[in-house]
Amino acid sequence: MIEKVDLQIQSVIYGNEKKNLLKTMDALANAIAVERREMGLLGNIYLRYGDATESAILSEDEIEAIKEKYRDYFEFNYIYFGFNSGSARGHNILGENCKSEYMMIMNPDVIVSPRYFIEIMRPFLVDGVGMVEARQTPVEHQKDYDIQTGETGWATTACAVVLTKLFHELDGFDSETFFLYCDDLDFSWRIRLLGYKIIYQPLAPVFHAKTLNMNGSWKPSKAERYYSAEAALLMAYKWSNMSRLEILLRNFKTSNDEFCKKAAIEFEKKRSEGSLPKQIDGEHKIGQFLGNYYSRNRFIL
Amino acid sequence: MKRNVDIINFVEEIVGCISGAGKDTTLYKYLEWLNQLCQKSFPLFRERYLPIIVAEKKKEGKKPFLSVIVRTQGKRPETLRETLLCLEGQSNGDFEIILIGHKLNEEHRKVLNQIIEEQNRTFREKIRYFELDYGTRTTPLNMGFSHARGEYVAVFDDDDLVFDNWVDEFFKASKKKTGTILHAYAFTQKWMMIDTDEGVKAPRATGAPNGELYCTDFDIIRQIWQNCCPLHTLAFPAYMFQEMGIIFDETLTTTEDWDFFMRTAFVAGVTDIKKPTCIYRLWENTETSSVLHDKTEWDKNYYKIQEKFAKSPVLLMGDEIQRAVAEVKKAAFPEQWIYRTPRITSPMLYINRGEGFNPEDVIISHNMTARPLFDIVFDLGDDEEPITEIRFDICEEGTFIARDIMAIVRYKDGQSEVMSMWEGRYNGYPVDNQIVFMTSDPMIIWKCDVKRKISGVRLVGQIHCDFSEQLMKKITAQIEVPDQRKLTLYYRTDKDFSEECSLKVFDDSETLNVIFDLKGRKGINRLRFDPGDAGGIFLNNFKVIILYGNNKKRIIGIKDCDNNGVRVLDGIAFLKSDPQILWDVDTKEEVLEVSVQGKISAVDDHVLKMLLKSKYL
Repeated sequence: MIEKVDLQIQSVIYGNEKKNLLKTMDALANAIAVERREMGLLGNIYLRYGDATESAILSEDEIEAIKEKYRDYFEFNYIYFGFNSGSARGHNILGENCKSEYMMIMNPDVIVSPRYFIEIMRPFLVDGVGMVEARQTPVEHQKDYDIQTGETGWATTACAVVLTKLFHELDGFDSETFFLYCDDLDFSWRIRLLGYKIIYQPLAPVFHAKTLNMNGSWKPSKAERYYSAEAALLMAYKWSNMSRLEILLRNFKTSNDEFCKKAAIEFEKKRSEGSLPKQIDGEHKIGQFLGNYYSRNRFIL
Repeated sequence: MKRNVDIINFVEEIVGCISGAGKDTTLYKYLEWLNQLCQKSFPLFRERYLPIIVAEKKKEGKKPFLSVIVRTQGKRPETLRETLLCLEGQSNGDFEIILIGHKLNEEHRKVLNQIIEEQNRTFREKIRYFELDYGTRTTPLNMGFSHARGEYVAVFDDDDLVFDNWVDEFFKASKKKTGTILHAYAFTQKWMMIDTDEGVKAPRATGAPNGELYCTDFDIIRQIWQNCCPLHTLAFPAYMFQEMGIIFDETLTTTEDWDFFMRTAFVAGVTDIKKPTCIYRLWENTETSSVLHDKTEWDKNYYKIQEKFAKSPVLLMGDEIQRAVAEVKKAAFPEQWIYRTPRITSPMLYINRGEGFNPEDVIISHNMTARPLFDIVFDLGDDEEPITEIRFDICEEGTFIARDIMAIVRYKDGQSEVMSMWEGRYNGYPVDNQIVFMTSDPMIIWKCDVKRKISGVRLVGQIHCDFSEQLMKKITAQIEVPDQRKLTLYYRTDKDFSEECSLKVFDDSETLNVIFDLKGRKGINRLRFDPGDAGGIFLNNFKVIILYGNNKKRIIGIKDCDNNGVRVLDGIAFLKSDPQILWDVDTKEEVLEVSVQGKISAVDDHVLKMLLKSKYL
């Protein structure tokens, strides 16, 4: 008989539409039912939403209705933060007291496939697996993974499951350093520093809406451009790649892109204030910087 | 249109009203063809499909906007699961799924039932499942169209991928252009199937989504020659099948979608959605229709379809005629022109309403034809505000030659006005009936009649890069270098450069050697040297020597500076006006003196040739 394990699913919401949140919950409930019917590994399941919007998305009545509707599938818990926590900090708040063996981190607009839980939990049957990432569709993430083992360099937390003990051991995401980008990359690399593997599970597809340019490239918003530039500097510094940091700073300072320039200024400000993160991986065992990427890619978006 | 109406009688009635028109007129032939089209597949339609259509129409309940036909043989369960997941993720849920299992064996039937069973209840209610154990791969499509209860019908194979806007973009377009076939853009993407430890195959993307092939408008002329619209980029109005009796040709074993699409497009017309909504997977290691049928079979079907097209009189609407003309014109250009011509990806039309051009007041469109021609329509929609000028930004980068550009201003009263490029202002050099744009942000500005309301502007013309030696000589001959140059050094102590913080020297020699005294000007953090106001200059052997308060000197070369010119050989060519060179200084020490050295000359045809070489070769 399989020993059941508990799972906490958590998501940080920000201005999401209620009907879309419910659609995501419907898909979760269905995938839980399929898992219980066919596998039976999952025990208690908790769904925790942290609301970082200016005013709460769900009312008390709506929260109660959700609790009632899905009571056979998961225990719903809703926390209104009252401030824009960003992804990393929001997940740290939600995961702080998590006692389940596994923790699932996901974007609130993700729709899991019916067999998602069966497939996402399967790699944990092998020792040494710390985190398993779902396959996003229709735009699959470009990073490479081992076809035989599924092993990969890092996991995006658009939808991934992690051993809760690792989350606690690492004090969660580095929210002091990363606001919107690279928090999952940094988290993944720290899991690997502890000796655990990250597995990509192509059999666990989740629908994640994306918008691409007409030429198929990614279409970042203004905020995304800034936070992406800022995170690139902070990753290079934190993971002790000073030569990359210098190149980035030089390029950003002379760049015509206002967001790159601003990111360089903010970084120098943090450096002069002494508020940069503690540097790790001085021997470069884990951190991988390949041009502007953090792993080998099958293609470039 | 009622299917049972005798169109021939109707045709004769119409033709009879026109004195002198007979059975050989184009009008008569077209209407006669239309009648035959509606009757041609009649026996099969009447016997097999009409009873289903009638039975479906009798059913009660809300009818969805879209019926999505998914045909499967149950051989690709993982991609079918993903296909259904993509449908579940749609932002617009106003659709039904007609899932047709075709020629299933027991094992595949079991898998298919399991897949349906595992869907969530709300979503499962959208699925209507049918099984079919006869016919060709086309038969499930006819069966699906017969059962469709939607206003529109789309076909989605069991390995297709769609974005969340797939249904919604069809929905929005259907409200604007009711009754036409709807066509959205698709990316192609390379995929492969990999074996997993669980004994199940999993899909793996091996290339990036690519918009080159299918992110283009429907072009009836090109489409007659070759199918450029994957089936899941299209939504067909249900009446074409259910009312007019135009059905898929079940004798075709390949390209049945192309045949059906064109026969319906000849009648209904096509509306382009101009947004990517789906991905067409190019499988690298799996069984697809392209490998299941040999080349002879593909060729036979191709010519069978071509024969059908040859017998079809085709109506061409205005913009389709324009595209056909463009294709013919394009064929007259040397091939290298097309290869070297810059792409017009996001052409922009800026609007001046009397207070200058505003980056917020801009319309972005796309080029409807292929290089080296362009044909762009900017739709001003409900815009009622007076317009004093329009500015056409062809593309971002310069270094190309424009010719025969016309701005066709369409007014709301139905009139239009054609203005040539010579009637506008431009920032290029006029040479031999062409305009040569050398700098970034190439533009042409036309004045407009503020009293008339504009509904749209169409821009047509050609651009190419055929820079001949003679042409380059003519360009450099136009470059005027002033007799005396104003050399300015700006010093920045605060946020930005200003005229108050600058030193000016006038000089007329080719050899640049000037010293700027900055003593007593505290807190300098950046310097800017402007070698004149005009463009068209080439700066070589450039060097700056900074003398600091501690008597230390720092020598700065061109590589250490920012500038708004173009690197050519060992120097910088400044083609546009207001040339600038900028560099940082050590803020810990006071800057006492700055010496600027180098050699200034006009951009000649040799420099121009090198500049073009670095860009194109």
